[in-house]
Amino acid sequence: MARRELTRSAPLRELLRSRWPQLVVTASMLGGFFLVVAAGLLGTPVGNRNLATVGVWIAWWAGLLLVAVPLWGRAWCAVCPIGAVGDWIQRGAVLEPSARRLGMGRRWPRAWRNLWLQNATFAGLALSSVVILTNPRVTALVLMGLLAAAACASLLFERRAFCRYVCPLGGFIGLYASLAPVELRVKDRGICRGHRRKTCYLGSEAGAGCPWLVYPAALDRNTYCGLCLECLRTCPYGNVAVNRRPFGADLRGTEGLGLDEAIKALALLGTAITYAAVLLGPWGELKAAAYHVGSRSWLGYAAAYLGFVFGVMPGGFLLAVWLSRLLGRGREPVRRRFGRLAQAVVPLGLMCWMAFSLSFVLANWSYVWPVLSDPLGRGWDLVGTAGARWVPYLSSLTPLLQAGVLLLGLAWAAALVVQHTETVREAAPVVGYCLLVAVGLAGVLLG
Amino acid sequence: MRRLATVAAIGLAVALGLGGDALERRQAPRLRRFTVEASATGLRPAVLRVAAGDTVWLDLVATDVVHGLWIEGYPAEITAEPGRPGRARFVARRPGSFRLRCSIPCGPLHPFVGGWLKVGHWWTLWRRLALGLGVVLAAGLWARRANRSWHAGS
Amino acid sequence: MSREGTARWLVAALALGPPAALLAGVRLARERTGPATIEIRARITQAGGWTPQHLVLEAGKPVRLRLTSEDVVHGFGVGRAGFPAVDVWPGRFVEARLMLREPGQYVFYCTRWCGPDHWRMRGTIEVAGPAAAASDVEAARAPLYVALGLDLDAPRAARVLPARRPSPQRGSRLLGSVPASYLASDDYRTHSPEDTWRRLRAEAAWSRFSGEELWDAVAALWRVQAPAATLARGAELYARNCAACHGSEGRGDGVLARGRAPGLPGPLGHGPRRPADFTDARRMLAASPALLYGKVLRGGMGTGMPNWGPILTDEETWAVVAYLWTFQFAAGIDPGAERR
Repeated sequence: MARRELTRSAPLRELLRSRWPQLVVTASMLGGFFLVVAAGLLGTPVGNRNLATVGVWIAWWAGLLLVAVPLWGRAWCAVCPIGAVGDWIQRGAVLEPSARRLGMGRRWPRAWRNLWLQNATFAGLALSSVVILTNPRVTALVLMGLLAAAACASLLFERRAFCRYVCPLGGFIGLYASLAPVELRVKDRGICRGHRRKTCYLGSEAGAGCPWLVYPAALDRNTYCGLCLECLRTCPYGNVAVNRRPFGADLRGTEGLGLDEAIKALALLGTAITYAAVLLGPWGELKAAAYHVGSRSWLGYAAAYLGFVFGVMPGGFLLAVWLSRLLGRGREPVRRRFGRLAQAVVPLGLMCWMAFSLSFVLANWSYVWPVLSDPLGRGWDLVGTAGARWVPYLSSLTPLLQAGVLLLGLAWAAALVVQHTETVREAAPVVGYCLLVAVGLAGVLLG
Repeated sequence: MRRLATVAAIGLAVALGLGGDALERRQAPRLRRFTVEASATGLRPAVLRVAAGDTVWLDLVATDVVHGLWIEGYPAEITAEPGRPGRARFVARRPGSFRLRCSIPCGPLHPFVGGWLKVGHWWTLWRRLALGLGVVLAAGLWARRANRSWHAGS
Repeated sequence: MSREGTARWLVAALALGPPAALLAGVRLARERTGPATIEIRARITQAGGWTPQHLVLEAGKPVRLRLTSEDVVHGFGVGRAGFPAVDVWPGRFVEARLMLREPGQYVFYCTRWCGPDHWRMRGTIEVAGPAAAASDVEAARAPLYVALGLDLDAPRAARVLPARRPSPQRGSRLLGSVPASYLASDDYRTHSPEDTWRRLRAEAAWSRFSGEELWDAVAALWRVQAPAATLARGAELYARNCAACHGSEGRGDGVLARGRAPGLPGPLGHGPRRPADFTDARRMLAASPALLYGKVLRGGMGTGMPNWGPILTDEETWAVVAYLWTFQFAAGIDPGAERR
């Protein structure tokens, strides 16, 4: 599949340049967000009968992880209500580009211009995830907390600093967005070099400068571009395009991942394994420890989780990378090699998350029907589905789908490692790491 | 020559991975009895291992609240509460791993209370390793060829 | 209106419309719930139990109950009222119509096991209305164990024990020789099996029978008082209410009794302890049905044994007591069928 510019089609280009469609979708998402929060705060505390838990952790999560991220990268961020509210407050407008800016507009601290804070916020959420997933009130409070944090960040800092540097989900989506077959890039960098006003970054009457603090002309990866399409509107030369491209095109470069990104990739892989073991595994004591946040057993679980995702996973990978260097011919520094080979963990990670989510989503999708009729668990029956019983869907097909997805991730990772190394011996340790992870996760998911 | 050897290795690995079932030792069917205790945090034992063809007698003992047990691939759905165990009787015909799930809301962890019924398949780990190895070799082979054409093209 | 103005209205409509509709729906549903509807929420005891815990009703006036659970499966029953229990499911509502004709105090309780404190999950119903004299008298009659002056907590041990499990079938052949007074229900209720054995031993006409045959006769006498329907009802009540602690085999080893210390209670005579073992012949054969009835009625005074007085009718309590003897005497109907 070669690169193909989608915005060559005039109707699509006009659709994307117009602010209305994006606004309508974003506002609808905000409506859904408030619905979910209301259900979480006012409805039944029973997780599988409340719109908050079922709507977010089954329906929305399935859409995000199984469709949106693999196919459209960071498209969710383009319509995410959490960041949008802060953005509107900051701009003092919901539609028109506005010169008025509320808030202090401070620059984000240089030391934090990386993924480390997002690694921390994600880990924090992951430690309480069993409670969040099962408790509607907690789901509602977490969502409101994120909205409040984004709004406050918008009043303190410039642009979408929250989305770029703090949002726990942003780092996750951004990393895996580099695999998507869709990208936003400039067409001709020469034009950008000759353009003095750099309206794509600084803004103009047509629109704001990149809210994601990305310089579009230098964009070569999907990771930090939130697909907000402002640059499509502000470039006076029409030099910005949305392209269709091969899957994972961002990972072919020799640049590699930064250390923060590599640790994120490995930590996310470790988190997928942890979630599978805790939620889908047969170990009741583990579930109880993960659930009782604040207890002694939870502290043990938290220590084990943090040690695993930030210690064992990167440590094991470092060992594999070091072995690879030993067995190879190059004299490349280990750190650079680590960053380069860590790219292989990205597709493996996404496939592991998809395999985990398939089991969870298909088994529990039938909870969506009663919740549509009775979002608060109050005995309503709006569309006649309140009495629908729980029944796992495609239960015999699910293991095959999961195995297929895991094997795809493994193959993809292996191919990437081979592409970034010269000999079989050099590739073997890292490929072996990926194989162990895939087989281990298969053991937990497939029994 | 090396390419041929690699392809042969891939074929063998994939064959072992997908068809290793046939190499499993067949045992005469037996009667297997299990008492599974269900609580709000999980099942104990959570993993039941039987051979293909075994008759399974499964008693579900609830230790705190009302629980239900759904067994993937089998129509039996058992309900139990403290003092009133439920039971299921069936023949484990098909080899494979089948999920056990709680089917009656029993607390916040209800969607995650479950386990496995493993019928046959004691070779599972080796088969998966073999299949994974086969896939990895195939991917590596493909990547080498793609690399060459990629380098040649750029 | 400017584009921005239109956009703001659109955002407001899309973002605030759905939650506003939801809140309006909540308000509407609340208004539709008339005064004759009572919403009752159930949680496990540690989390609050029933809400509300006290209901006030009028005699003879039906009310519509809307019941829901906020955690696990519960059940709603009203003691001594002939009200068929309903299961209450988490996150769902079930409706039931309750009408109590007789004024007085009733207890509503949870009918599905919901944890170790399940039996504490009770509430009260006060039914106002003109008091009926007859029912007052009925309620005022003291239980049999009080009339007999029995000390329910006194230690007891049978000194004569059967060598083998007494059989009502074997004993039924001997019933022809038994004096008629032994067949009266009052006689059964006020004597322990050991008492009756001793009385039979003292009868001259029974001197030719062995001690084991006398035990069989006692078993048959006990069996006469419990027709199959009574035993079946007792078995069902036992399975539903008692087996969780006392075990389905009656050994005091039910799942909810785990971790309780065996043996005697502490210095005050109270404190949780292991449930009674109904297979222990020494203690069971020294207990009269009236004593067991009293234990069930009154409860265990802090030992963890619930008081069933407000819940079970007299008939139900005697049925449970009759069933308890099947752990000592082989029943005419197969007790294993209930227990399996």
